[in-house]
Amino acid sequence: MTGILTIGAVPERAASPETEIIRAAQSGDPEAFERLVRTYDQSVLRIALNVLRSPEDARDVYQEAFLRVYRNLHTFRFDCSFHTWLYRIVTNICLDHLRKRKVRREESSVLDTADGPVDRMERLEEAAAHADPERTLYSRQLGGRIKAALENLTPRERVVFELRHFQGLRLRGIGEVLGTSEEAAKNCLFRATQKMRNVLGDLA
Amino acid sequence: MTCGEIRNAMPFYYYGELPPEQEEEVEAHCAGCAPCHKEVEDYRKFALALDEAELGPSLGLLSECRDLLAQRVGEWERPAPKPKWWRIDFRFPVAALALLLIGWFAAKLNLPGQSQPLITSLVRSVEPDASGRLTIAVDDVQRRVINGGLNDANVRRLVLIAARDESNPGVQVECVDALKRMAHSTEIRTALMDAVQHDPSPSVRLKALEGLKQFATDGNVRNALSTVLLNDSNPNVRMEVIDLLVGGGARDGSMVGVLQNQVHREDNSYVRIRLQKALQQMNASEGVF
Repeated sequence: MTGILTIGAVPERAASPETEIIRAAQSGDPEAFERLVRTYDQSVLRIALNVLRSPEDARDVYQEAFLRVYRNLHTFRFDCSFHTWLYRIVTNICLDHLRKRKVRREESSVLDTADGPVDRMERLEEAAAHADPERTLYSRQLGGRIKAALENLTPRERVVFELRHFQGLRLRGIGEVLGTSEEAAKNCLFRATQKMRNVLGDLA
Repeated sequence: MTCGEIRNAMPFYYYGELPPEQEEEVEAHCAGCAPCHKEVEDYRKFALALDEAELGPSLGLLSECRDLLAQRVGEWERPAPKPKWWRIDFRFPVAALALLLIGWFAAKLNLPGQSQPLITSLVRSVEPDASGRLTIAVDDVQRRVINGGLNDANVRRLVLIAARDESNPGVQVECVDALKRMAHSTEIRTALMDAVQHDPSPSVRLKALEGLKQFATDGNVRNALSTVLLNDSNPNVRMEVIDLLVGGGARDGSMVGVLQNQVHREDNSYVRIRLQKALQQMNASEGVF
């Protein structure tokens, strides 16, 4: 790919089925690859952010996932949907990050700044809610509580919860993404929701 | 089913993952059991709170990721430089020189005591030609702070543009939140209807629905809401739409068909119960004849 991925409108082209775009990307068309990235990259970044709760880690997952797609796209044989294949790559990388983080005994999400220590996710949440101090405070408190609730989950539970609740995947699809059975995904979702509600039950 | 079994089945019931016969058992049980009915309601509120706190990637982060990916894919494709002195890769020293020059110019522009807008410069490419001259492509992003209300046409235009910018859902939510207070303006109401039908972020769609609440009896708004009810993938959004469509309590004949249509295709048990109740309120049957 020689072009630069820029933020802005994607040039309008005649509507083309995803299969054709994938085939074009497989044959080395850089525009097709860029279209593929742009179709899925917000979802990929959203999954990584919600699972890892760290913008830096989410950025790394994004890079690693799309570079793996770029290098291995020729091996994609349409045996499953492209998004299942992509989400499998993304969730595997997220799981690796979470496992490494566990080994490092949960790295601190606090960043030292000139204004004192600041939580990295709070900075991200504030960027969206800076207009209203009450909203900022609420957003910060809620974000902190969700983060605490997520920390009670195992890496796999986190991923299953994210894919079912936020991405709307069916349990069967989650099983395919994680290379496990629907029943195992169901058990994982059950444990995740129980733990989340134990911490966040009063949100209801 | 016992109350304990209902509680254990709740997440799967909410996400529409129960087999039909179990789903019917849950519904029958909840219809006559107040604590379990409350459990269903509590789960929905819990899920709604999570939806509202969902983190969307900011424009800055997305932009950074895309730029870095383009750069890394480019490096992957680029052949290794040949080790001849006249083929030394000048790009990095030249890019560094370009940045220094930009820094120097920026410093010259930002004289003490003068309030200058913040300009971020990003060198996109540096191409030396045979004579030693350089062609440098620089993106300048200038940040300005603008204050004003939505009655100011310029402010309104900017907010409307940002409300449609799907690359930054965080800012979108803020913009839709601001716009909803001015939904009496046709232009703004149209933007909210557009957001509720097409925006990929459920948080943005829920905010837009809040703005349309007071206009739920307007014909165009009702048409947009029925489209959302039939097509939206998020159960919380569909629930809010049903509340808006039947909120007034009045029987709207044109909506009965929409609700009847949806009740048969609805895969979320909780939303289906709400649809059935809405049809009951309207003295309409569930079936389409």
